[in-house]
Amino acid sequence: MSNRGERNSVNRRDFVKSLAAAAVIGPMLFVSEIKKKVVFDRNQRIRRHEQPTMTYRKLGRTNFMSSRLVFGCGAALAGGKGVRLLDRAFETGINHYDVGSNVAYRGSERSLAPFLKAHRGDVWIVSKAPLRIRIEPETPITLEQAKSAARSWSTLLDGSLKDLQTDHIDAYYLMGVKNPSLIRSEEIYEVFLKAKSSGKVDYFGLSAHENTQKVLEAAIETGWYDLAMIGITPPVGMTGTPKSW
Amino acid sequence: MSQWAKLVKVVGIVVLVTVAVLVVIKQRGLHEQRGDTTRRFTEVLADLTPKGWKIYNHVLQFTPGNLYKQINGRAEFYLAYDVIGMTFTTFESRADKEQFIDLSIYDMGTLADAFGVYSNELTEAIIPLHFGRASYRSGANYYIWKGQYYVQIIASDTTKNLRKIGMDLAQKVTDILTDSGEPVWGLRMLPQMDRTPGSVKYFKVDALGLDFMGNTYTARYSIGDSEVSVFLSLRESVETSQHVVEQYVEYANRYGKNVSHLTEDGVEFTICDMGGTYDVIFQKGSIVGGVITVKNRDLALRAARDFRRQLRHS
Repeated sequence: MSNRGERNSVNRRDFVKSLAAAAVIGPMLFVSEIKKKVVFDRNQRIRRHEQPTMTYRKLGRTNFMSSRLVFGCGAALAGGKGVRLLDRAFETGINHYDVGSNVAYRGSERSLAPFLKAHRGDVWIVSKAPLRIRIEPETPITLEQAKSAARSWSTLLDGSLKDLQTDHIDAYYLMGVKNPSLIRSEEIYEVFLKAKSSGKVDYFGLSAHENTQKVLEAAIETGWYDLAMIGITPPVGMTGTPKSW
Repeated sequence: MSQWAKLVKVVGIVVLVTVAVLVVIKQRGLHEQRGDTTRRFTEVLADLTPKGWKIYNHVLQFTPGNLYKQINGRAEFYLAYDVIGMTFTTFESRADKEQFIDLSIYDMGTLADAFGVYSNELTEAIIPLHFGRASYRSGANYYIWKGQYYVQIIASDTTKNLRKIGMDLAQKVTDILTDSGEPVWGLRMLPQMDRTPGSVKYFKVDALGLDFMGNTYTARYSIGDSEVSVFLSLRESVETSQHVVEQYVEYANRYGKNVSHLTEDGVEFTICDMGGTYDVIFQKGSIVGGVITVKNRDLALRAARDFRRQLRHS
């Protein structure tokens, strides 16, 4: 990040820390219908709609026991095409549904909304939004760029909640990030912390397709991220040399 | 071999070779035409740059093989409609570099495929516009279907200034795109009466989430106080359409409660109780149609009858 010397002050660090603390305390005061339905085991694992036909694993740095299969709702629900598959997936014990903001997957969050309403306490919902910023993977962001990206991501997060017709989502990601300085941006992290303290979201994550190693290293370095989704399998139709992941 | 037989053989070979050469020439012509279109976009887009703005970096061309590099997992959506290519550029404000507009022009190859991607990305909270065959604004973003092309104009913010610039750009981009003017089969066949505006969608593959349902249009219609979803699929032959119905019955037997049949005026309606909702399907020549996810059985049957009766003639 640029201007790091100027902003690397005790006051700013303390501010971020206080936000982080508020983000932990805030949700405890905000009791939503979703939290009332959460089932915890004695290890404080979050368990939802587990079925004998599915296996489950602890998801990242969350305590959620996620189905090994995750339903990718982005392209699948475009135009409402795969909506009937949601119930089929639910019947088999899939409890983790991943979608993206309307700017990336138009209409998919809205297509997911009725299913979410019917099964809210039984499923884990992740959405994500891109940072609306043009920057090369190795170029450090400026303060103005960080503020602008943070602002747009916050707006998209609210847009996702509106399209999903819910006041809470389990995790929200920075989508398709390739620049490590974005991962280290305190301005963007503060947006997440504010959203968390107001009960909008519980966990923070990222998705990456390019420059993935450096992005992940930056995420580890900050300690802020609970989840990371990286592209592994080259898509159908892709030709040429596989990208360096 | 007699002289006559030899002559026939030679003539046959000449005809075959001539046909092959003509096919190659036509394919090359099409390829060059597409290449011309690509080059044309690259040159023309520079002329479309808004006043006080510039193109950020370059005009980029993507093929089905590398579309993923630009739009990641979303590429699967366009690949399902056999996208031919995508031209992408970003316009950046010289005065404020944080203001930018992304322009994507998808060449979908056919009218139906372009309509397919447009209709599936169409959401409810939009402002209809008059560009191309169909278009709308959402915030400061513009989405246009014209001919075989689908255009997205996505702004960095939703300010009034960006809305205006985006609108001007939408007009200019639409003007450079061609349209054969031919009708789209599904839009021509689907009855217009009581149809919910903007509800028609085209699915090239996996319509209704079913892998045997391709080349299918869906739409919503008002029937009294209810709204019913219909589907219409053009298959290659009568036999193929019959097979689709059989597959649908198999699907309903597997995932639904029961399947029954009703024949009226020589037309068989297959009624699928899906456990809480009903699907009713019928076949008409090489067309398969029906209604889906209707809560009331009688309404489902009535809607299917009406739909079949009102189907326009091809």
